[in-house]
Amino acid sequence: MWQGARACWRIEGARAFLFLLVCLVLGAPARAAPEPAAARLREAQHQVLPGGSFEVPQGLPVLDEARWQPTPLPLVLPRAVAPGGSKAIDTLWVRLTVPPQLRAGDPERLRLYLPRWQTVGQITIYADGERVFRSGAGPVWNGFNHPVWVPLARADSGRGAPATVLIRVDHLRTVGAALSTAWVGDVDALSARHRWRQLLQVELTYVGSAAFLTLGLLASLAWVSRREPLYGLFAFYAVCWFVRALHFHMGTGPLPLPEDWFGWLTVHSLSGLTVASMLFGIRLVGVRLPWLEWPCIGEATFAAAASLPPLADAPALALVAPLAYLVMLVLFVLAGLATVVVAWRARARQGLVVLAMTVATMPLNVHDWLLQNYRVDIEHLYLQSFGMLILAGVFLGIVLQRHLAAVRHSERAQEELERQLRARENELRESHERLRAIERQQVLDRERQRLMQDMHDGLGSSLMGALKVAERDRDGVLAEVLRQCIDDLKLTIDSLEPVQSDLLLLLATLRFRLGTRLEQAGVQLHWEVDPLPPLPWLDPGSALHVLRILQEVLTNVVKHSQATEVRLTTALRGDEVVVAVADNGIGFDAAAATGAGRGLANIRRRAQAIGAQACWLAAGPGTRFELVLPLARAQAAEAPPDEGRWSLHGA
Amino acid sequence: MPASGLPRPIRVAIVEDDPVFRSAFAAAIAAATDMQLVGVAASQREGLALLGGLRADVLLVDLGLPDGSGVEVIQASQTAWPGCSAVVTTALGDEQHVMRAIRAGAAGYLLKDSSPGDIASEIRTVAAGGSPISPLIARRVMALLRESEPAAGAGQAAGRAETEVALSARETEVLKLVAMGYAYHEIAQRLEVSRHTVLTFVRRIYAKLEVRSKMEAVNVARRQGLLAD
Repeated sequence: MWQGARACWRIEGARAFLFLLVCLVLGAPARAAPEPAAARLREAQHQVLPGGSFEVPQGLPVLDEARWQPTPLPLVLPRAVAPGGSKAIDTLWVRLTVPPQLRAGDPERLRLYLPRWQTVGQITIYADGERVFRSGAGPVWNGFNHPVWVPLARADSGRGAPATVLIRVDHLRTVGAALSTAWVGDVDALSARHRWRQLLQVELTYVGSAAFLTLGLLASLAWVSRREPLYGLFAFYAVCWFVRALHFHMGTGPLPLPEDWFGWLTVHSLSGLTVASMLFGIRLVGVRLPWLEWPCIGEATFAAAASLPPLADAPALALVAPLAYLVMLVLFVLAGLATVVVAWRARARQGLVVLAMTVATMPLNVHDWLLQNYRVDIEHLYLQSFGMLILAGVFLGIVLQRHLAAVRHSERAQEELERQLRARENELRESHERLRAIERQQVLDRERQRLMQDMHDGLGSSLMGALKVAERDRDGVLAEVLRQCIDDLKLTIDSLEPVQSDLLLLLATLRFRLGTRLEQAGVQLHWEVDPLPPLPWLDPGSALHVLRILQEVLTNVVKHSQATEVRLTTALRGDEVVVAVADNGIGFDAAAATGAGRGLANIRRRAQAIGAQACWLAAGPGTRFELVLPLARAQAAEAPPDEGRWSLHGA
Repeated sequence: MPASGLPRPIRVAIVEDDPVFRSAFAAAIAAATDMQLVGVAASQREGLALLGGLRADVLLVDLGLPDGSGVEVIQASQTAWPGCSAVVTTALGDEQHVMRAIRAGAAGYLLKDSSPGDIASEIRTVAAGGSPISPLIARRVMALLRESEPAAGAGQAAGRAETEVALSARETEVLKLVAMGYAYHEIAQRLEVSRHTVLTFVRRIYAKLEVRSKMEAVNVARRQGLLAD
């Protein structure tokens, strides 16, 4: 019951849509006052005779005047179960009376305009007994969708305007027949009306399907090169639609192929359309529904194979067509709804749009089915083509969107590629520079090791051997000189060790080397250092300057200050590091007077070379020496080459 | 430390090619009442032969021997005389020489210009299970043992050994303080242990370094396919 109500609603919807359309297009001229030169005939007379034929009738038979019955127009002979078999042919005769006032004008300007007739059969029109129209190709594809537009009097006949018009409809009894209201009148009064209907009913959809076919061919090229199913489906859809639309447009002239094949094609192109749009929608959602896809494809294929023209004759096909359409419609509705549900769950916007549009155009299909079976006003337009046009627009939009997305993606990929390439180039350059730096460092290290090995085995060993000899010979003066030489050498060696910017390590090394000497001299060393930030500029050259400065200062303390204690401290002061050596001796001035003067000049020179400051402060008893080192050297104040005399030892 | 109380003198052997140093060391040992010179060699060959004789407690080895390196003598002494402390004698005590000896298993180093008194006291330290260390060596050892990543392909064996050679917190602290210039007795005060304990920490650190260099040698060999897994 609910489903029935829903179907009703759809029909009503379709009616409303149609009404709107007709009002918009046909309403304008219809509203403009009653046309004096044309009349719409809503009444006629008719009779139905059995034993007709689809052969071209030879002459006009005599009709029994008594059998004429009045009938309103539009006239519908419903489908009927034929006692004489499915091929029984009836002839419907309809007699129209041309209103007398219309016959007064120029007979050549008189036109008959029949918006629609529909049947499986042929239609022939006589004006006062003279044949003025005969429908096209064959009984099935007979150009039913083309409005009839015929002059009622030929120029050369010499007769006046006809009084009656006879319409002969030879039709399959089982299919029935239908005839719309008829217009008779002056060509000018009717042509606009005819043009509009011709445009909407025939031309617009024809041009639309042709344009869509072109896009389909384009898509098929894309599919051939890209193998993306969406493009293939789009192309298939376009071809199917074009073929499908043909049965609305062809038939006024001879068909390009046998009627049964033509029928077969147009009927099954509808199955193709249905399946293609469903697969298109499902693929847009990005899912697969094999349980739905394969039955639909199977049904369509089976139906197509079963109704191949060699297996079934055309009139029979015309009989089963409505049933086939109905099955297809049901399947279509089910498939559509199922995919809408899936798309909704997957929240696939594009798929949802396509499926929603497919479902939305379904009432149009229902309407057409009803129209085909004379269930709605016979003068309605077939709306399927308009639905197709809308769907085609949606498909086109989506394919275009995907194409644009692909182009954008490719552009982004290109950019990304370029970015990566640049990054890789930079990495390569950096890595190259790092390698070169490492290489340089390795060269320096090898050189340093060679030098140290040499000093160790050569100069160092010789000095120590000499010291041992001096000690053995109890030559105290010589031994002391040698010890000082050895100390100097050790500090030089230490300065070459990689201290890695660690000033504290350098100071520690100094203590390690000289601590015993201080103790032996009776000076107690207090070591009060704290961790310091790294000094990046502390290369071996600078390290040696720092070592020599402090060596000199400590030596001065031992030699001249008479101190008993010395305190070495480190501190961070702003962006400077302060190394302080404080003693409890006799004071700086006094010490300087005793001959440390030359050493002070050396200290200043070295401090300057490394961008440091050296200063002496009087501190209670004793002296406080401060070496102030920058954390970062402003620029490479290259240390001058060592001048050899850097020690007070020998002074 | 007075030696008179010791039940047994420290037995010392010398491997030194330079006669001046050889006699200087010998004189220093002779002057110490708690020591006894048990062997003298002037070359690598003699040094290795020495290992077949009477076992010494402390072995002084010069690296630069005329017929080869003292490193081999140090390595051989580890198996021939287990528990013997090998000490490398060096002119300058520079990192390069000392590290090579320690990685080979040396327990310490002795500067060749040390006074006879210093020589004796260094020998006593080593014999008692302690080891000397300089700031530069401390820094170097820290850097070496901190390289925590195990050699590629070494597997769990390396992982296990890794924990064996990892420095303890106290050992790390000792190395840090040495690198800052603090003397043994100052470090001992800070850590509230005896000076001797600090020196035994250093010995333990050296042992780990030796284990580690052996491990590395195995890993290198394994990587090069010289050893089967």
